[in-house]
Amino acid sequence: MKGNIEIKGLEKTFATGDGKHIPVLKDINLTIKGGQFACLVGPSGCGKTTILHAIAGIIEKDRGSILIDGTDHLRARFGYVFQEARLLNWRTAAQNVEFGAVAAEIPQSEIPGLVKRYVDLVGLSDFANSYPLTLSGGMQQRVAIARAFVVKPQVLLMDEPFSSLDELTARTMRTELLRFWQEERHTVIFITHNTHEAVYLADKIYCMGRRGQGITAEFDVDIDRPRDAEDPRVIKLQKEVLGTLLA
Amino acid sequence: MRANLIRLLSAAVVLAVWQFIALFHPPTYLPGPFLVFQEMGKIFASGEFLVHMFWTLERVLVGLVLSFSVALIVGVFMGLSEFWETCFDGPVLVGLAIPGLAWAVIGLMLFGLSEFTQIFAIFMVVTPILAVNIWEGTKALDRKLIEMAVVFKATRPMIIRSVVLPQLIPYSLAAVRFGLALAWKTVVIAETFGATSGIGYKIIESRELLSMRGVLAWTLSFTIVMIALEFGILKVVEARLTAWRPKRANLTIAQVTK
Repeated sequence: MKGNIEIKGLEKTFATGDGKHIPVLKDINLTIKGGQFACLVGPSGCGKTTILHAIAGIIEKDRGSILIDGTDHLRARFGYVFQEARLLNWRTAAQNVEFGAVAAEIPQSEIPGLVKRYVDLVGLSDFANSYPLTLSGGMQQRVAIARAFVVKPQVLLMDEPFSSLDELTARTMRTELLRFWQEERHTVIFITHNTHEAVYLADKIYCMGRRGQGITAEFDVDIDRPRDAEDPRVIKLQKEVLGTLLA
Repeated sequence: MRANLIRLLSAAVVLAVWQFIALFHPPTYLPGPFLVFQEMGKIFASGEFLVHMFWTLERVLVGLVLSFSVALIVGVFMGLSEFWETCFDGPVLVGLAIPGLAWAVIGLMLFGLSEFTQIFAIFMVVTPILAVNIWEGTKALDRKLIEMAVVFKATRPMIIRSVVLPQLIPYSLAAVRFGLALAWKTVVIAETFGATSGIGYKIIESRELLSMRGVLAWTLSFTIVMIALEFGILKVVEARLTAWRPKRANLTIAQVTK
């Protein structure tokens, strides 16, 4: 299984305008096995997003190493789904997916087929030629997910992708995401502050404390999918996770 | 439909008022609309209008293209870096304040009766306003989209072509519209004393012949061409380039504020 992530001693300090230094990440160690769905849960400001940014190379790390399948993370291929869809509004849904494929330097001959495959997978066959501004928030996020899948990522990074959707849409999207993911089994790091979402989705949950505290607890989720919110094991685990976060 | 009817009526009223006032004056002092239309027919039929229109348009287009090329570079640099912003904000502000007439006079003294006089005047008047628009457009670039493109490992040319330039298109189009309006006003001024051809030259020639009919006929014909250019070409280009925007402003508030 590909997509093994090994983070050792990751540190990141941000300088504020008035010359102060705020350590956001201190000695983060994290090993995620290929094909696992990992959730990072924690309060705002704890550095969840900073970890994703460091993995994806959006920010430079101060110290530590991040290896993906044994090589430096800056050479790895990522799919990234942001909180907002971040689509190019002047390109159709299909062309947005294509953008990801072209950027990832997927061979020209494979692109049309792949684009169609992922547009179909996320259920947008009828909207392939629609422009993003004519699509609903949930549909826009589906395009973003297709764009992340089409690049054949080693790791799929998702930063609260459903938090700006209404709860009903978010619920459907979670179920759908699991369906897409079960077809491809990428390694996923999914950030959320929603414990219910984490327990519903993840194989493994990592809890983060307040800023600078790093990862304070981890939970294995050994419950068959699809999981039911009423399942006593789900309720119990959700309580435990929430308890850790509030402690 | 109703709006067009109102427009037509309002134009008819203007013509009627003009005709009414003209009734009380000799046609050499203030000719009525029919005499002016007659004159317009004459300059069209003789081919004279096409010749001079060609020269004026040529100057406008050359001036605009030069302006836009320089303004695009200056504006993008100003939008991207504080250093260039500080370098250029002074010259741009001064450039905006200097009247077109002054540039036309300076051009005449530098280049004499040559094409350069008009092109120089257009360039100096239009470049600052184009640069301001593109500067604003660059500052308004959505950096989150660029971040997205970087994460997906898009190459630099790909980012410029697919992410940056499309965002500048609406600003560039607005800039070209302003620029065109300014350019044709400037060129006519510059032609009145710095050229031996063009619409401005014909207007001033008509004045020397004491022909109000000629002055109005040349002015009106030229104006009609400019409006046709604006609505016939620029609007169509704009509609094509911004086809991705939903028709009318039926964006939801959430989409606008995002």
